[in-house]
Amino acid sequence: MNHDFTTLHLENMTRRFYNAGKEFSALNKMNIDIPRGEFITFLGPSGCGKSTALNCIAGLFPLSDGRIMLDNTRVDNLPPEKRGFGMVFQNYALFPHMTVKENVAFGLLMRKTPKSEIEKKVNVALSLVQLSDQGTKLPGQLSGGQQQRVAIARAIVIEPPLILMDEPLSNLDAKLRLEMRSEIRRIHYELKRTTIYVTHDQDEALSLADRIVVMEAGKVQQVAKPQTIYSAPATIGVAKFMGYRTILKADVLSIDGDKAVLSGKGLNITAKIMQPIKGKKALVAIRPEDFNIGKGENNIEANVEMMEYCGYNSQVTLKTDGGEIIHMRTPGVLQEKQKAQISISTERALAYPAEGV
Amino acid sequence: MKHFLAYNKAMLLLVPATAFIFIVFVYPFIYGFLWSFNFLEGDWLANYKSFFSRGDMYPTILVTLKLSLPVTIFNVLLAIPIAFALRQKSRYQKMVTTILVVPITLGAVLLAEGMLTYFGPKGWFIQAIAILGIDDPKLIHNATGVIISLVISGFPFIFLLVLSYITGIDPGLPRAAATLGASPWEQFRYIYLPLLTPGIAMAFCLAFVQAFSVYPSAVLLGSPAGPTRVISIAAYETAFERYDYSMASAVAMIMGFVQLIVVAIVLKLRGLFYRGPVTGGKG
Amino acid sequence: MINVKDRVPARLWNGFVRGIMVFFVLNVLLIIISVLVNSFGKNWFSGLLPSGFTFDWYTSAWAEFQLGHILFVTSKVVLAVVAFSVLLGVPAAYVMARKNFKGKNALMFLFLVPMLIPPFTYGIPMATVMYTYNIGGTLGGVILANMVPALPFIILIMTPFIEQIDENLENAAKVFGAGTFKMFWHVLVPLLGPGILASSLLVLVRTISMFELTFLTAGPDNQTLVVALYYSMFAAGVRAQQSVDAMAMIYMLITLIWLLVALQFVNPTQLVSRVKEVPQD
Repeated sequence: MNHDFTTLHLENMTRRFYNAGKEFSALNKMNIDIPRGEFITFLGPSGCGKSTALNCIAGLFPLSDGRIMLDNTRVDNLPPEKRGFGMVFQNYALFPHMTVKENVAFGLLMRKTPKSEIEKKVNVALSLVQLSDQGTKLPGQLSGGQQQRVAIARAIVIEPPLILMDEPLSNLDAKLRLEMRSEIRRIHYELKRTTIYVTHDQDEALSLADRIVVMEAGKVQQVAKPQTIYSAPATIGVAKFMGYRTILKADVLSIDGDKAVLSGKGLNITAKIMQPIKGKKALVAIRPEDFNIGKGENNIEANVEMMEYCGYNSQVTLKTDGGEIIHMRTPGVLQEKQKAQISISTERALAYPAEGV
Repeated sequence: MKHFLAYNKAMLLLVPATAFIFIVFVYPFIYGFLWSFNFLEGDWLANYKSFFSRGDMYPTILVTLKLSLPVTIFNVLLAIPIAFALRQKSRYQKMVTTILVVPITLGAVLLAEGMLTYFGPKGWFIQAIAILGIDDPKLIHNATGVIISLVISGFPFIFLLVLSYITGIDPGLPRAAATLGASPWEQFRYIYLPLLTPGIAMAFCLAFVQAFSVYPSAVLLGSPAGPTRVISIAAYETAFERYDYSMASAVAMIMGFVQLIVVAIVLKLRGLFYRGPVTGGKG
Repeated sequence: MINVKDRVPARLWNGFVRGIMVFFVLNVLLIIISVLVNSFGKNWFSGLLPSGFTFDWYTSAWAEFQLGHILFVTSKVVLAVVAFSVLLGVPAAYVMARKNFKGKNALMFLFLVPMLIPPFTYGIPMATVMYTYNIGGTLGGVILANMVPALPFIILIMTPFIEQIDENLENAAKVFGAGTFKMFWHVLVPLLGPGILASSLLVLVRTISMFELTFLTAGPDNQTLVVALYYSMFAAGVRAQQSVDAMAMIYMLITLIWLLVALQFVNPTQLVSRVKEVPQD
C-alpha cells in the first residue's frame, strides 16, 4: 500500500462543512504540486485551514471537492488505512497500552510484515531517533521529547512515501523544541522522503522548509521558498503574519515602475510595490529590524514611547506626530520620551493595496 | 450524501440502544398514559374519578407523602453536615463510603428481613433498650418500621451524592475564604452551601421519588392494609390482583404526577435561592 | 485567627457527627448480623444468642425454596442483562462520545430518564404492556425489564470514559493501516476494557439486587433470588424464620462478594450516581 510517487498533486482540494445551517469552507481550492523529497510547510494562524488540509491528505476528513493525486493515481477516495502515509500527531497519539516497540511496530503489523523483519526495522527506527534503550517502556513512562521521538519512529518505520506532521513540536518546551527541530530536519535528509509539516510558528517553518505554503481563512496566500516569504510577502496578510509589525496607511501620490510614492499622516514614503495597486489608498508594511537610526532614504521623525531591552537588541515603540505607531528593533540606544530620527530604505518598505479597496 | 454515509456509518451504532429505550420504556409509558384514560369506553376520566372517590385509593397519596417527604427532608439534613465533615479525602472517608454503600446494595428486602429480627420482640435492639428500662416501642409492622427502613437506605444514598458534589468543589475556594477570615462555619455558610444548592436539590429529588415509590418495606415492615398502604401497593393490587390494567395505569400516572409536582416545587425553590452556574460539582 | 473559643464547638460538632455515624453504622451492622446469627441458630426465643447452632437451615432452605433453580435463573438474568446492555450500550456510548448531531442532548436526556424515575413508577405500565403482549412472566420479559435501567447506566458511564480516550489514537491506527475491525480490536478494545469491566460489574451488582422490575415482570418459574426472598418473607409463618434467614444470607453473600469485586475497580459513589470520575486502570 505504499505508493511511491514523483509528484503529489493537490488539485482544487476543498473541504466544506455545515454549522447552524451555514456553509463554511475550511479549505478552499488548494492547488499545489509537491515533488518527491521536498520538505514543505503549511503555515498560518489557527483556523486558517492548514490542519484541515493535512487531515484531508491523510484521509481523516473527506474532501468536499477536488482531487489528491500521486502522479496519476487518485487517492482521495481511499480510506486512511489504504493510503500508506506516515503521520505524526500534535499530541503524539501513542497507544498507551502498548510498549514503545509495539507502538513503532504497529504499522508493520498491520501490513503483515514477517516478525523477524519487524524486529529489525523497529530497531533501526528506534536507533534513528536515539531511543534504542527505551523499547520496553510504556509511553506514559517517557518524557515529552522522548514520546515525540517514538511518534516519529512510528511514522518512518513503515517507510512511507509521504510523512505528515501536525504541529509536532507545539507541546514541547522552548529548548526541546529547538532540539527536535534539528532532529526532524536531520531525519528528513537522512531518509530523503517527502514531508508535509503543519505549524503556526514562523521560525519553525523558516528553518525547516524547502518551501512554505502560507494560508489564511482556508485559502493559500503564497507558496515560496522561506527567503522569499520572509523578505517579500505576497499579500498584506502574509506580511502581518511574517512579523511586519508596522503597518502605515497612506494615499498614493504617484507610481513609478515598481515604486510607489505615498503620503501618510505627516509622512512621505517611497515604497516597493508588492501587489498591483489600483486604488488611491495603500498600506506600507515594515519589519521592526529594517528601520535604521539616523537619516536615510525615507526619513521619519517620531517620539520614543517605550524601550524594551531584549539582550542583543531592543524593542522600541515610537509614535509619529500624526499618531502612527512604529515598532522597531535596533541594537542602538534611544532615549525614552524624546524625539528620534529614524529611516527606512525604499527596498524594505513594502506597499500593498489597502484592504477592502 | 455519499460522504455523509461513508463517514457517518458510526451513527448506526446508536440505533439499537435508542430503539430499545423507545420500545421497552417510552412506548409502554405512552401506552399506559392513553390506557389510563380508558379511551375504548365512554367516560375517559372514569379511572381518575374512581381513584379520587374510592377510600382505598385517594388516601394513599397522603399516606405516601406523609412517609416519604419528612424522611427525605430528615435524610438530607442529616447527610449534609456529615458529608461536609468527611469532605477531606482520607482512609476514614473511603471506609465510611464503602460501609454505607452496603445497605444500598443489599436493598429493601434484605434490610426488612434483618429489621424483622433486630427490632422484633426478642431482637437485640429491644433487648438493649430494655436494659435501659425502656419498653418495646413497637418499631415494626407500622409506619415507624417503614420510616426506619427509608432512613437506612435513603440516608447513605443522599450522603454519597452530596459527598461527591462536595469533593467536586475546588478546595481553593474555602481556603481563599479562610485567608479572608472566614471560620469553618462561615466557609460552609458562604462558600459550600451556595455551591451545593443545585446538587442538594438534585439529591433531594432523586431520594424523594425513590421514597415515594416505596414498596417492599411498606409491605414487609409496615401495615399494608392501613397506615402504610402506599400508592405503589394500590397500583400493584389493581394490576396484579384485580387485573384492571387500565385503572392500574391511571394509578401509576397519578404516582408519577405527584412525584413530578414535588420535583418541580423543589427545583423552583432552588431557583429562588440559587443564582450561580447550574453545575455545582461534578454531578 | 485561631483561638480556643472557636475550637470547642468545632470539637463538639465533630464528636456529634462521629457519634451519629457510629450509631447508624453499628445498627446497620447489627441488623445484618442478626440475620446471620438467626440463620445458624437452633432456637432463639430469648437472650442474646440462640440456644445452639446448626447448618440445617441452609440445607432445608436449599430444598424448600428450590434455591438451585432460583440461582440458575438469577445467573441467566444477570448475565443476559449485563451482556446485552454492554452490547447495545457501548456502541451507543461511542457515538455519544465521538459525534455531534442534532438532538444529541435530547437523546442523552432520554437515556437519563430511566435512571431518574423510580422503577415502580414506570414498572407498572411496562409490566402491564408486557403481559398484554404475552412476554410478561417470561424470562425474556424479566431480562428486557432489567435492561431498562441497565442500558442507560452503561451508556452514562462509558460516554465520559470514551470521551477521555484521545480520538487521534483511532486516527493514528487508521493512518498506519488498521481497518475498522483491526482498529477496534487492537486499539479500542484494550483501551475500553477497564471501563467495560467496571460498568459491567456495577450493572451486575445492581441487577442482582433489583427487586421492583423483576417482581413486576417475573412469573413463578423465573423469579430471581431477591424476588424469591420477598415471596418467602411475604408468606411468613409458612416456613421457619431461620430458613428464610438462611436464604437471605445466601442472597447477601452473593451480593456482597460481587460488590467487593466491583469496589476493586470503582469508587463507591458510582453505585448511586453518575460521577465523571473515570475508574483507574
